Amino acid sequence: MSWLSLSVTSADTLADVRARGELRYGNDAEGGAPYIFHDPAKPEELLGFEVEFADALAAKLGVKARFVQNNWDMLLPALSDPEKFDVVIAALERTPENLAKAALSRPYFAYGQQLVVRRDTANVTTLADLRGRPVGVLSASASHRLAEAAGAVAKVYQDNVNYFSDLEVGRLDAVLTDSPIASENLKSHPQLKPAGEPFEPGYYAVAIRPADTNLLAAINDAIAAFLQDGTLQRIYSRYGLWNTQQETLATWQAPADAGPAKRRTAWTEWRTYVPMLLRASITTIWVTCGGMLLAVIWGLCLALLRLYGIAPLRWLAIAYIEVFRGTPLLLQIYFIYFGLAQQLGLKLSAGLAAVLSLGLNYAANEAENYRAGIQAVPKGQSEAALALGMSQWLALRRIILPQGLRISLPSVTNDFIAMFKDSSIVSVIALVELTKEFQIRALDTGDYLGLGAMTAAIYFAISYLASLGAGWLERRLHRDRR
Amino acid sequence: MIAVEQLTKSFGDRAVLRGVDLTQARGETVALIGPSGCGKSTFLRCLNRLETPDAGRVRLGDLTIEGGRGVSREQQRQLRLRAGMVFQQFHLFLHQTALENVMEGPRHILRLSHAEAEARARDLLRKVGLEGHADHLPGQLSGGQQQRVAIARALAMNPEVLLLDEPTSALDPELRDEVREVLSQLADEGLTMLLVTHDLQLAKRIADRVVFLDDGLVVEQGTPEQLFGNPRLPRTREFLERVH
Repeated sequence: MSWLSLSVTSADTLADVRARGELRYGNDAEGGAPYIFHDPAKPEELLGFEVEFADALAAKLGVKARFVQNNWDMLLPALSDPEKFDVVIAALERTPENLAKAALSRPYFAYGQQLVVRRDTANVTTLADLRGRPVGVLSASASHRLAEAAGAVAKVYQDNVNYFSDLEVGRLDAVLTDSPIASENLKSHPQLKPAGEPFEPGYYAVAIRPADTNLLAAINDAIAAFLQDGTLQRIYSRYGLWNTQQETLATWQAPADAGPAKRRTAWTEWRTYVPMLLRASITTIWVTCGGMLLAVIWGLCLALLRLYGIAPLRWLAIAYIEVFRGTPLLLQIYFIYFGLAQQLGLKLSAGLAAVLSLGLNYAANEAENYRAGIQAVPKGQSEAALALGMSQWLALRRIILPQGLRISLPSVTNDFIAMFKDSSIVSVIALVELTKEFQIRALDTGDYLGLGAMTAAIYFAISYLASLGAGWLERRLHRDRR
Repeated sequence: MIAVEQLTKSFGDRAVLRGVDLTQARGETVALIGPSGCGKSTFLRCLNRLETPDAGRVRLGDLTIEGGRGVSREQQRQLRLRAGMVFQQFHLFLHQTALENVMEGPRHILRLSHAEAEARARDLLRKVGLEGHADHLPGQLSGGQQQRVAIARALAMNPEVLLLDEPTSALDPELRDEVREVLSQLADEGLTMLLVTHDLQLAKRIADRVVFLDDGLVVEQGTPEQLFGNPRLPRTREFLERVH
């Protein structure tokens, strides 16, 4: 019941490709070596075994290959749009889950799962040794499923680079990844080593829209021919990837049960998915509450320094506010989580880094809210307090702040709800919150609509409760403005 | 009780006070009158240093404070504790009830217990005739009521002198009487008050002495009968004719 299966193209894509003289393939250039990467010598050119495979495939069809950039996570959903690209060649695993979402060619590459650990790690050779320990995996990959199934604490990353850094600095005990990624990255991380042999063989296949049976047949023929004539061996050898595993490709047979698995939808299996989403929303809630608490306290300090501090402190507060307001939150998260760990050895946990980044960033907004509120308190109020014999500080505490903060309250509520939604950005540091959980499960099932509706309902319910609470607080505090 | 010597104050190039002298005895009520912009409000605000006088000296009881910026915050606070202030626009604390406004000083500046502060505040509210409005917020009170709460708030600190800056000017004419009534009663009880006002009726009613300030200087002073009945200087006469 998903829009993927509804997108039937009437035209014959193979004919279109030939007429256009171009095979457009979707991939994500962030995939990195050895799959697809920019030539360090000529940054505008792409290298990688998948790039060369795509070129060879297109040549076999009598056309040229054209690369189309697309976020890896969204390649399969994007395939349903015939305007974008014709096929996906992007290390897509030939799994029942993926077969449910698209037609898949016979495999063009065989790989295994490889565990990677720090050089000083002993006693880890299989996934079973990592039960209850943090293991870095790529979001929605076979590694992700295997790590979860083995009882390891799967830390979900969006790319194939950052988990190696986190393994190095000690945030992870191991990384589970596809063998080509492991061998490529071991070259540049001398502190890391493989643990055990590759296991759980898997295959990469070309994804095609289900209706394009002609194109599928042509691609399958081409791959078979490449295995016969040694084209694949030549390409993979250039990247040091040809091994005995690849030789099995020539005799590969589709497993008997390889027919598309039954599509899972969020509606029929809501008992599975709703609790998953609710559990993830707890992360969203505590990250937001922690971040807001920090933002409120630190923001108030900043506002007071800016308004009443001696000159150097006042300048520092202004500089802080401008810098944190004027740079992207995403950048600040990367800086706090990865930057501090790599440059200063300050290894914050993902949760702490998330709360810190959100809090430090929003503190700048809060400071300006409070400043506006405080400045909106009539001058006569502080004159009356001082004339009564109050010290500056007492007047601030007893008379100015209670009124000023009340004026700021609606903006603070606004920021709280904004942060609640912004908190999804912390998924870049391997924290699975509500939006990330949605992405992972939607990739699994392809049911963006059902899961999206459930996720939106949870977000809405929580922010609505928050705004009801804030309204109640405002009414209580604004008793004099009835 | 109060002795002010040669007080001067300029805003930029404009000299607002050009050497004002004033003495006032304990229990005396003095009304400062004069045309708008003559510096009478500035003079009052200089006395409790809501404005910083440029030069001169203010003696209040045992406390002597020189003009200029070299006055410690503590000295400034001591001065303000001795001199209560009532503003033209009342400036009640908007987030507090009438009772809380009057309790605020005793509770948080004098650090009385809550019970003591509340007893004192209720006494004062009764004195200004607002014991029934203790739980009202400023927004729920009329101007005259707000000003009476403001007077009670100032009195709650037991000041040696009460400074009043145009206490009836922001009020509708029909509300002025209730404030005049309260101030008259305080004068009868022997409270020392220094009053800046345009309200000649109020000055006549409560002042022991009226001081006419013009162009930053004291030009004439005397009892209300002398000054209003038979002013010595043409400037004074002109001013009185204009406001009447």
